[in-house]
Amino acid sequence: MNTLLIVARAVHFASAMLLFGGLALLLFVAEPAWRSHGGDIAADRLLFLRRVASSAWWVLIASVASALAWLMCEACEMSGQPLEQALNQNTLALVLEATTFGRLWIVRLILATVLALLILRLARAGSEDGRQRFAWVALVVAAAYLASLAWAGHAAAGLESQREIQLGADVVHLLAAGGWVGALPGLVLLLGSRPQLDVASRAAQRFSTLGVISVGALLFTGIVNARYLVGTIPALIGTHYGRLLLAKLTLFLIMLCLATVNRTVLTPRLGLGAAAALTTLRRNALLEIIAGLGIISIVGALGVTIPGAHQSPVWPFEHTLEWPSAKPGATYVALVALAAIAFAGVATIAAALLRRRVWLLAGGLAVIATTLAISVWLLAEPAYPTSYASPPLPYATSPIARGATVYAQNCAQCHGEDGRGNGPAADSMATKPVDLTEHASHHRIGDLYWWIAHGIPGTPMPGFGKQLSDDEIWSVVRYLHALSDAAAVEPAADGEAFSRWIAAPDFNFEVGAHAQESLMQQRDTHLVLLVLYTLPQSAQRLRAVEAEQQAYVDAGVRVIALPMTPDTHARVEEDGPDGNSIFALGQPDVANTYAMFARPSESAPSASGHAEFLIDRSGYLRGRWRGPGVDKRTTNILERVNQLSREPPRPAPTGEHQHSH
Amino acid sequence: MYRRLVLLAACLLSIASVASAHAFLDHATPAVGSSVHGSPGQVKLWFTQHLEAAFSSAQVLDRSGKRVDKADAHVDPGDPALLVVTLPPLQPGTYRVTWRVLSVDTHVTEGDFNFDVVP
Repeated sequence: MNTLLIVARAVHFASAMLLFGGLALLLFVAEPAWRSHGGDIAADRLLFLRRVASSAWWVLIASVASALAWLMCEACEMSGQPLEQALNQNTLALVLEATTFGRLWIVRLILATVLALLILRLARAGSEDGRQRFAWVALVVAAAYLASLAWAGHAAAGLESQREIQLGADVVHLLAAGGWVGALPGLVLLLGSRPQLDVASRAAQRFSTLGVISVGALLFTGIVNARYLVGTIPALIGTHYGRLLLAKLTLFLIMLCLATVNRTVLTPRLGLGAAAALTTLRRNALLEIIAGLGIISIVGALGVTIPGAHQSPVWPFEHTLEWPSAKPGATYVALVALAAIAFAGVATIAAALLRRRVWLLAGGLAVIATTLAISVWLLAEPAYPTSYASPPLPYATSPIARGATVYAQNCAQCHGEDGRGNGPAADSMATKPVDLTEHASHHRIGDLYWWIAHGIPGTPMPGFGKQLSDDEIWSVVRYLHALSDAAAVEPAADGEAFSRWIAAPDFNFEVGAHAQESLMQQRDTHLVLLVLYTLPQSAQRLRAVEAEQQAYVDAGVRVIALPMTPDTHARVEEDGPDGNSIFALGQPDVANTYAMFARPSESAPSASGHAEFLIDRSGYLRGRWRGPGVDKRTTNILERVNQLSREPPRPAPTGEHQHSH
Repeated sequence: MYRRLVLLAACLLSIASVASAHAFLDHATPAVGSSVHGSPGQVKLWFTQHLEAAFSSAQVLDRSGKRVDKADAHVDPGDPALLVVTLPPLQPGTYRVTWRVLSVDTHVTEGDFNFDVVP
């Protein structure tokens, strides 16, 4: 079924491009070329027009047939039924009436019918004016027929503002591809019809211009689409979709090289009257068509492949290039020096081109190649298949709490309870375990996953891939992230800013009889003050918060109070107010995880049992207060809120999101 | 020369295609794998793309695999990326939500997750 769908899509894309491209060639290339010729060539013109029109007929038949095949495949896919069951009146009617795709198909089949009538009239029109008019109308209809395919693709499903950008990019991409690749067969037909040399030369020139415009548009819109659908280099290299795209890009480059030769070498030669160039030009156009067919087949497959941006990439190389955020300052100095030398190399090449000195050119190229090689060597880092993997678990309290349990059972022996590399088994080791609070934040989470699963050769670190499940390892990775953040938060005094950005782990909570909510859902709407309490010691502070609730609401802060231990909750609920209650219920992992960020210290020695956390609108932890202090607490918190409200919004923490399949 | 440089730059950059994607579950209420105190009344599923109402559905099963929802899964009229199914009062226990949705770009995805109802 998938193969049939891929073939149907490819044939359909090709046919729609050919219809538009053929008419574009007729109007923008062939007709102006004929007109520029002085002599009487009316018979040649008419013959060419009729050939285009009759080819268009066959293409249109293939187009409608492939559209129907595509529709049948969709009916199976959508209904989840096999072909013989899906092809009943009800399913087809439902697909056509109730889905965007079906309604689009009705419109496009009407467009195909109109196009058929126009092409028929085009071939039979008596006067030249009549033919021109019909050709122009047919071009517009063919453009709509081709461009409307954008609504059958990913762009149609984009959310909000992205949707318009993606649809616009798709429309331009389709028309540009049609104007270039779709027009090539028409060009071959024209050059093969033994035209006068000046007509051929003019046509080649005009086609070349059309091609340059199309290539520019294809590149620009292609990059826009790739940003949305692939997004990152690892996704380009490490996913099936990305590699299909690379194959498509390779074919595109081949076409581009052929087109460059045509434009810069053959077309000028043709202009000088070299008839041999005509044959070569035609042969190159045929090669371009073959590459174009390859591209269209890939487009057929890309449409049924999950885009790279939504898949976890598998990194295929043993190294990767990474900006040296954790490397010594000398690396930066070296890179700047290399960039300066490379610039000198570029200047040398420019000079070489101006003065036509080959040895200077070779020298410049050698300098650039050497500096590039050294930079790559400086930036190269070991990488693993999972280096850029997207974790299947979110950065939330429940995976973190699970990770804490797995860590205590499997890792604490060497790495220590708090991850500082001081476990009981560490003393007897020649290679000491690393301080994870330091290391975890400096490495890609995909690397941490790999080391836990497969161990680190040459060190005592064993692989746990056999004992632990995939989810267990990822939950340890999430726990290490929290552990490292907790260590970064520890030195800060209450109410003070932290030394780096700390993502607030997501959690679920319920208030009274309202539906379950999550911290993530509060994003962009308000700040959150999370109060973890224990009774009776927190009672006075809780009463104060309730009394001051209006001040928090006015400042854009939502207060969520959760018990440190679930059993202390009941007493509060009885006393607490109904309706806009601050009192929420959550799983114990919320309090356990957030308690990591409020460890007692010298400035707050007896702080356990009560802690408050301020989380900003972008999902970052921005302040914490330990102990149930009442004096000036609310004033301090609202001052901090006031500071934060003057900040511009920040992008959400990276690496926290996941899709559940 | 300039033209060649442009073409060279073109060679180094990438292009993409008219392509398609799939609707993935973004988040849900009750959340994937979470516990709720008391019967939740309805299950809400937010997806990463707009859904086709005619071919998108979800059901809720109890531990024995018996269907417990009110068989009224529907796309929210105000939010085309939200699928809602209502529930009768549920006893404490583990429940399984299974979904199969069609995004407006013609791709079907399916999945399932559990949630617990606790007293």
